[in-house]
Amino acid sequence: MDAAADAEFSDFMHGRWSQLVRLGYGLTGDLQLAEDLAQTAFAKAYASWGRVRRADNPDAYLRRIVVNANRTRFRKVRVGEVLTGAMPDLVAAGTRPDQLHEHDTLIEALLALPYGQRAAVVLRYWLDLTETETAAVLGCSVGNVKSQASRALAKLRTSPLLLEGGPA
Amino acid sequence: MSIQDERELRGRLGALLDGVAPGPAPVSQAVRRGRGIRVRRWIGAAAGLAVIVAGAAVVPALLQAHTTTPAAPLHYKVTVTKLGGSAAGGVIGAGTIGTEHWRVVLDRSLGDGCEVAAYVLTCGDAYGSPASGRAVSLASSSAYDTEFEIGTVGAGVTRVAIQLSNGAVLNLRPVTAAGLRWVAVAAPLRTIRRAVSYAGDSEYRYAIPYANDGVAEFSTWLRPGQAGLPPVTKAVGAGDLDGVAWHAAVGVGPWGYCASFINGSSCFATTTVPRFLSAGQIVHSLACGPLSDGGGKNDGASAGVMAVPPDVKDVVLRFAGGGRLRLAAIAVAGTRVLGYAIADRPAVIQTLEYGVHGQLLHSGSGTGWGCPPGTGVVG
Repeated sequence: MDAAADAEFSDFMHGRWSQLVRLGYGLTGDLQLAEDLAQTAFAKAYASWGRVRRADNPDAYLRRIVVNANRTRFRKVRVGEVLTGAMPDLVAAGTRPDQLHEHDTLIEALLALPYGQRAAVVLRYWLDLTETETAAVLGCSVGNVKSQASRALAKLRTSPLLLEGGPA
Repeated sequence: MSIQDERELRGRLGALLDGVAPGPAPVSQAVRRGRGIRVRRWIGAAAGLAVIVAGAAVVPALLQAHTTTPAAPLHYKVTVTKLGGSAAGGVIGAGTIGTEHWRVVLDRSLGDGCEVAAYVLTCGDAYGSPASGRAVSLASSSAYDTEFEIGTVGAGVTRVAIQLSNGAVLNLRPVTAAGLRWVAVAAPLRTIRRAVSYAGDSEYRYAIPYANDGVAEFSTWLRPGQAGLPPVTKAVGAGDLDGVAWHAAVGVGPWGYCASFINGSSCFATTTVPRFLSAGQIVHSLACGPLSDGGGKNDGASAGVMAVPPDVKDVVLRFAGGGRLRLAAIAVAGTRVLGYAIADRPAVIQTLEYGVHGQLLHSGSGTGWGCPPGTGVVG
């Protein structure tokens, strides 16, 4: 790529980096891993920059890479994917100490969901994607998004992690 | 506080995720990795072109035995540099190919992944796994006309000798890094013929590689003098999916039982005729991701090599919307397998298995084909 295209890519990445990392964090509960996933997505975007820059929705392309890359990771290391209750060493900027417990339990509850349900929750309820947009990212039908999100919400409603006085 | 409705969930997710503070965007690293991916893409595109040319020559019988492997180069020289016992600067292998310098380097930031470029292979130190006793575990990669072997060896292995097509022998001494003992080498494509492991001064095991598009894949390690299986390699599928030409093959031989696709292969270590496959078993799969780094629109493609019952000649997939795809099952050394590549949509709604006389043997619901959400990569 020429210097102009590199500069264009740099602007593109700077503008989307934080949101993509946050998506990765919602899927993994691990900031370092989330940054790795986001970097992978941008590296692939760079490799296909001509196609990505002309795409109607380059954000959907990036999100799909992050979601699928994390699926791959789960497959590779699934033996080690055991919830321990230990949280990433992360205190987000702007987070009040009294919010920490609430955040810890929410991410734990998210991580306890099956991967498809968790991805549906983060895409639908944090990124506010429509069901159609979520289906495009997940590579499934709109009906499947509805059922995944519905099941996830039902589980979160009854999650002992989120009940008052539940386990930290 | 429990979550009672969608609005509350949105609020709490927003508080959680909007509060995450990532580090600065690593643009230069993404660009570097992106350039590495483009190198691999170029290789994938070249492999696809080779398939199209080969297919044009044998259209009436597309699934013939694989006989189009290019020959190894006649004149080349490879050297290996002695590195000492510990990796300095992450370098676990170095040397020359002709006048070019090759290197294999560990870079923790790559985790369990690798990036390959001309004459340089860089892998995360989590790429290797501990090898016990006298075991050797090698993996391969390639860029342009160079192939790399990287792996770990057990504490009892003193060296690994790599034999090349020109008769040269490269002695690899294990290098310690990240708590593992590594060996690594580079050579021109199609030139690696054999690996021999040594315990002390004695030969312990040897391995003949499976050649996957010219890249040597080591799987089965044989005792000195042990012959292994006689070699048979057959194409088990080929086609085009959304502009990406693909082909699949199964090779049985002293390397074991290997199934290969356009961008990877899987091998079972075995020294006996492999009747161990059960019908429906995925021998090799690259499911639920891009079919190839070579491009195309099929990000949700499901592809691979699958074992079928021994009396099945063809499998027909029926798709939602009325489409059909007939897949031929090929007999290879006591197994019957087929190669396939399908898009994520339309969904497979029925499978029909036919025998040698065209009789319907079995029909299924199509469950398990394609990439239902959440299944992840099978590979």
